[in-house]
Amino acid sequence: MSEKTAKERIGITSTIPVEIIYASQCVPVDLNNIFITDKHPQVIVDEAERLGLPRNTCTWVKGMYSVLKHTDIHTVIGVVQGDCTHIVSMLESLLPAGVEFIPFSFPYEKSRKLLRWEMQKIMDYFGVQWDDCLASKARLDEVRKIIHTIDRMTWEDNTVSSQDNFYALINSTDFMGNPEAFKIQLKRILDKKREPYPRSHLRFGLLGVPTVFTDLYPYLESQGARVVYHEVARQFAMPEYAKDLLEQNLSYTYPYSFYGRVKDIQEEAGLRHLDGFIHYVQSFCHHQLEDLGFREQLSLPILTLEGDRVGKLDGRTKTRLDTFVQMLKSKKRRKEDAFRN
Amino acid sequence: MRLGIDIGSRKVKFALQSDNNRMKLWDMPTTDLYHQHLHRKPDGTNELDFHSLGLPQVDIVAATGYGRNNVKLSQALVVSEILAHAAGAMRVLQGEFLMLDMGGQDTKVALVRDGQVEDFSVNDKCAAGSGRYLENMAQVLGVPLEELFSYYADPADLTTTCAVYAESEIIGKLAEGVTMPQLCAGVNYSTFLKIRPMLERWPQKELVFVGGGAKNKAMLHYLQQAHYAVVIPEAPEYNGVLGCLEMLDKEEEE
Ligand code: SF4
Repeated sequence: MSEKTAKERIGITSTIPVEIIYASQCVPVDLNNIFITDKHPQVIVDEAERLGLPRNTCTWVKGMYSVLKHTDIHTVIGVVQGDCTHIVSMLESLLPAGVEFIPFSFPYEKSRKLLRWEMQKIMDYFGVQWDDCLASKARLDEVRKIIHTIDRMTWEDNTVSSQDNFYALINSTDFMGNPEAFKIQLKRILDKKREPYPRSHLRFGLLGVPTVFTDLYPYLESQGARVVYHEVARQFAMPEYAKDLLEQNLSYTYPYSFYGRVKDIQEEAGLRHLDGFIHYVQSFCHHQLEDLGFREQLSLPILTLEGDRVGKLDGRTKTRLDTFVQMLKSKKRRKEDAFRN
Repeated sequence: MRLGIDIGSRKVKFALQSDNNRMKLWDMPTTDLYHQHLHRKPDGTNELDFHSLGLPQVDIVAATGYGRNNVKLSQALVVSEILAHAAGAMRVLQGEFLMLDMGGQDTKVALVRDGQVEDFSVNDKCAAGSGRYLENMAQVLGVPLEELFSYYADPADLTTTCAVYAESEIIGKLAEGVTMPQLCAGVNYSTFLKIRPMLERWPQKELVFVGGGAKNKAMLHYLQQAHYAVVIPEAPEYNGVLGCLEMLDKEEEE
């Protein structure tokens, strides 16, 4: 191992082959998760604005910026290709003194050779070998197996809530820094054993980056709808089992072509019998441009929701959700009536 | 006797339908409703005070509008305002058409097909182009709103998209000698440019124009110029509340 000490916390800005960090005995910490699971995430965002970040910067970037100012993290692996250009600018120009930035790229061409090179670079940094990483992959795959079971129970058995589904998937970026402890949390979800949700509930797929709404799922449930597919978060959990680490990170759709994402979405929409999509876009995020692409490519109805500050759904967003739910319910009712007659 | 209530950001609109199908329409400031005509119940919901509203006991209440969720009327069937407006528009047009509602705070478009909302869009989180924006602009220009609505020719080029900054842009243009009618037309035209992409999402040219904004003659002119066949119902600002009652009918049928 290099000069890194075991248990040192390594910041990550998005999903990376986290097996490498675990192989080095260091602890990966997803900066997004530190920010959003804080008791007062909006205070963190406000602080970034006070420190001078432009108001029209996305909330996630602001959150990560403040987190970096205050934690004991001295090394950050930032995804510089295949994720977010805004984060790259922030890491390049505004990193606090004493914090080292290691760039990692998912090559857009999905080239094995380039990805291998990128991964090797991180391994060299941590002084670990491929075999070490495969061992940690086996350790993480144990946890991923449970996550995928939870995901399947969400859409097939209908016995897991959207909230729990999201929790399981989203924390797979860093395994909460402790895969075994995370596994215990996941088992708790498995053990909950709730009654299946009614068949009448509408089934939505949530596309796009994670939302900053704190009450989206309970609100949807109160309207008779559920999210049974989290597009991006599910990808974080590496749904395609692959024996080798390289393959796994090539089948991860999010950092590569938009059309790869679309294909994945179409397949899952059929499998999970979705009624519609909610495309979540973050204010000031470049992914907003993809909204038009989704509308052109996907045949199911799409509701686009935009969020800025962390907090509860505002009245206007609720109106959109209500209308979407009521519209789809009445469409469905009509279809069923027509079928019966 | 049935009551429809559309709780807007500024005004509440009422439609009272008597048993012999006579309809009475009226409005009041939203703040009056909050202060004078609601009983707060321990469970956090509210009850309409029919007595203080000067109404007899009403059997059924349907509520829509921006405030419908905040007010939480315990007696009411709650309907999304987009669906209510679409139902209102279906009173005047059948088949496939677009419903355009320009209200105080936002603009909504719905694609209606065979009595059903197929898709919809609401403008982004921005006041430019809303009814409130037009009112502000009329004030800055020192003309009544109805007069602002009458100018469409030779619109001044307004480039600011922010409702607040547009004020200073207008004042600057006045100082440059741009005429008041051109500026009024400019305000209307920039509003039209904001809503046009919402309409063009669907290739439909039949259009029902509702909400307070439907009184904007300049907007009607621009819509027609863009080849929309526009129908405006009587009392377009009551379209939402009337649609809300229509939805009660449907609900009862089912
Ligand atoms: S929401 Fe968009 S802009 Fe913000 S961090 Fe994520 S990808 Fe970047």
